[in-house]
Amino acid sequence: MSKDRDLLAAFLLLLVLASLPWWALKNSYTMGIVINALAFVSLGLAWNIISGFGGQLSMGHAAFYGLGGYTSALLLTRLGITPWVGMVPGMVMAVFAGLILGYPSFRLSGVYFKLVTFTFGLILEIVARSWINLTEGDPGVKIPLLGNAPAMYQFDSAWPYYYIILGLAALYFLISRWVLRSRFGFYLQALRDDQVAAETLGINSLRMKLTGFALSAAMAALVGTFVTQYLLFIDPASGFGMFTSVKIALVAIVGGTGALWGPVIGGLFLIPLAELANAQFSNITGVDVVLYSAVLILTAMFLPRGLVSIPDLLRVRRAPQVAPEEQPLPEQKSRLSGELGLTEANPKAE
Amino acid sequence: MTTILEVKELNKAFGGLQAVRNVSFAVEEGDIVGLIGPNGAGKTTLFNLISGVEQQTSGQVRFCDHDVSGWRPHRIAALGICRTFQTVRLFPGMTVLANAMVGAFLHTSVPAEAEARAEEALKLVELYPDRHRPTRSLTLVDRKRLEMARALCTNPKLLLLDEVMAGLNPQEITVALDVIRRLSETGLTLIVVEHLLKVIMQLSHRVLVMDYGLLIADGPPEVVRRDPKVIKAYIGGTEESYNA
Ligand SMILES: Nc1ncnc2c1ncn2[C@@H]1O[C@H](COP(=O)(O)OP(=O)(O)OP(=O)(O)O)[C@@H](O)[C@H]1O
Ligand SMILES: [Mg+2]
Repeated sequence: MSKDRDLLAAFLLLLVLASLPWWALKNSYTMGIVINALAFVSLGLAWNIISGFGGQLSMGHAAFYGLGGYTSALLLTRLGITPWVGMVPGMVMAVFAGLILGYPSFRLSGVYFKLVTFTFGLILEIVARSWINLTEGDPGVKIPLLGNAPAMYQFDSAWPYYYIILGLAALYFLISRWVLRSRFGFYLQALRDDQVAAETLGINSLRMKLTGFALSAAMAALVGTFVTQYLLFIDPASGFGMFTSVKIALVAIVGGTGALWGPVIGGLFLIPLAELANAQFSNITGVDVVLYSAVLILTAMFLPRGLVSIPDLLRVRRAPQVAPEEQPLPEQKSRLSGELGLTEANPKAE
Repeated sequence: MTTILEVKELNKAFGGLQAVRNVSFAVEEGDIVGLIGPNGAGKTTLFNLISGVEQQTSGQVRFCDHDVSGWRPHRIAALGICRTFQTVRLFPGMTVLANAMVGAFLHTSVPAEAEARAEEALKLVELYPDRHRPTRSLTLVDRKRLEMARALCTNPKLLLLDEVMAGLNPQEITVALDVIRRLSETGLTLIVVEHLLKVIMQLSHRVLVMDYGLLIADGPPEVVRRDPKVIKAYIGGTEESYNA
């Protein structure tokens, strides 16, 4: 898709979403669904930077989200610091954690990064449960009710939250688009595709991955502060839990890993679907978990490149001789030798 | 003429297998150096050591007055050594142009500049019309061309080419030789690994011959081709490479 069409499409989508509260989302319940979806769009966009563009799958991204939420919540309840300020130390904590985790694990193979991020989420969840003096343990941290207090990141109706998260999602989309088009994004993708080749072209793989991870972690932390203020509480499971981590990754994977639009499409599709299922089968707990698993399996089997690849697939079905993403063939040079090359070079493969 | 690359008593062992043994040579700036030898002689391993992809067991590599032994590949690349891979290693998730741009970003962080540089290199290897294609859809020959363009985009001082002409037909080889000569005229130093002896003898100012990890000959093509050690190594080598 062309670069400017991306911007235009994003702008139109933004307009539609911005108008929703005026005609579609009449009550706080329906608005809450879209707020939740937009929060996961934002988290998915954050995850996509290191895991999609950079190919380093983070299995515990909730950890950074939770660090952001807990940090600003505790700074508010303990020291009275407004979350508008508290969100910054939250991001700093997430960046710091990301660097500490990334430094050793990025030097090893990708498996270690998955393990380390996964374990980190578990550890933080346990810490949040047991270090009661700091985190207030299992029940979590409650944000004191202040009524309508914009300066304290608190509002008495849902729509300010709606526009904040919509703005944040839009900002994250722009950041992703900028990353994709910058040297940084080219480098992340090159590392994802072939680290050795990338390094021989001058790419400092450790530094690039750490930068990507730090950015991704900071972005997730900021959403953590938002959701905590919106829900007025954060607890160990919602903050650091595995289910949150899985949902973050799933939103991007279902939409299309590494694609600019992936987390946007994935979040807007998956989260409302799960909410709907939960409402429909409210007598059964965990319908959403089943749904997420089913969607993941279906995506892996039938749409490995996510929902964003559907237009390409349709195009191929209509004109099977043209592969996806291809331009019409330019006039051909002699390519016959290509086949020769293939048969000749294979036996020498190292 | 100044020495740009100096390899001193380089050794590389894989377990018990000595892939490079005590190899020493120097390369003068602007030269085209041919590197030949039978399969398994250690040519690719030597490239891996020079470019930092693998670490030597012992010995030294000096480039532009720096001892680059033990450096990470990205630092060596920044100093001006770039290489292609015998088993072509592109970025399959990116377009042809994007692949080349990754190389071009070594010297600029401005995407438009990287794009211009990449397009120039793609024109040189005649891949410009294919620039928006996904790399998956390229033939092997075109992949090798792209890899070479990508390497050129880093603007190297020394370029290591590992069998970029394998699989090309005679006309394509002529084109490739022409490209390499033109690059050489711009002052680029090249080490070219190729199994086609005739091609190497035509192209190179100097030829290095490896066999079983040892450097068995080093000199001008007309001397090397008469060297009894080289003839002996090649009679034990593969038919195709001897007849070529
Ligand atoms: N990573 C590795 N681990 C173990 N052995 C290796 C490794 N790389 C190369 N070798 C061995 O080292 C020797 C030299 O291999 P190398 O690839 O350098 O030869 P080459 O001269 O490039 O051969 P070819 O003409 O087939 O490309 C071979 O015996 C090879 O099997
Ligand atoms: Mg080789």
